[in-house]
Amino acid sequence: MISTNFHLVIGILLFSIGVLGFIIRRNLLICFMSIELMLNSVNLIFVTYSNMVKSTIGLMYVFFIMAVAAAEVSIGLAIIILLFRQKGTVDMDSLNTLKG
Amino acid sequence: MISTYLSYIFGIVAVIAALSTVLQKNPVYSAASLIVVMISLAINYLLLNAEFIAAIQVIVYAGAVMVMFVFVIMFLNLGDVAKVKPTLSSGRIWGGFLTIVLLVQLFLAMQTIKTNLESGDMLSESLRGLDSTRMIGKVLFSDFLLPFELVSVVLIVGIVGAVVLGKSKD
Repeated sequence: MISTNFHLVIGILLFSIGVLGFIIRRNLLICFMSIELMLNSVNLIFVTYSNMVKSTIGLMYVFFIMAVAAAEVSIGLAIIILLFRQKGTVDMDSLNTLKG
Repeated sequence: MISTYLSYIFGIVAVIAALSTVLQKNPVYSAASLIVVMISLAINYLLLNAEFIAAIQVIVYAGAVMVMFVFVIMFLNLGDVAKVKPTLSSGRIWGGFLTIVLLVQLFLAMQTIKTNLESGDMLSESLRGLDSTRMIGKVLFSDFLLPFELVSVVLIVGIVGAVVLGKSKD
């Protein structure tokens, strides 16, 4: 029997690494990958609890998160391509048009 | 017994590959590390009795999503643009500090939830004895039918939005 604790710890570590990557990196694509990492860690925690309490609800949430994440990635990458066409860079610090 | 060892191995592989994703300079290497994370997580899903989720993790995430990431990285030709020298600014130090605070908070939350939630059995009678894929199918087309239809609308909006945004102006 695999300890549930271990998977929860892995999920928490992956989420924190995703947050860290989003904060310390300035490359838009790597920040976007960090968001994917956070979504995946949440999925792992859902599956772990679903296995722990023998419920299918967690698996359903993972299914819907995956569908929404796929749509989000297609839109997000299209936006990044547009930004690169306009500005010629994917550095987040140079995207300060809205800065007051 | 072997499943326990596999779970430990691929959990640790996932964390190391996640660190590599965040810390690599070249976005292509980051994407490759992220694929390793996705596949390790898929193996963990298999060990947690979620075979269908493991399959769509490999197909949707490691397949479709990461192919799109790699395609965009290659398309933008970020080889030399992305090589920004890493600096230790005050924002990054604060970011690292706040991440550690978040990590501690999440651990405390995990401990609290663990004491509140005993390992129960919430499976309804009609689903007893089925494997996880059959259970997902039965629940998806009964209790979750409306969210399932709405998710198809979300995917269509995603497709149309990507086409509209990616279309060149001329």
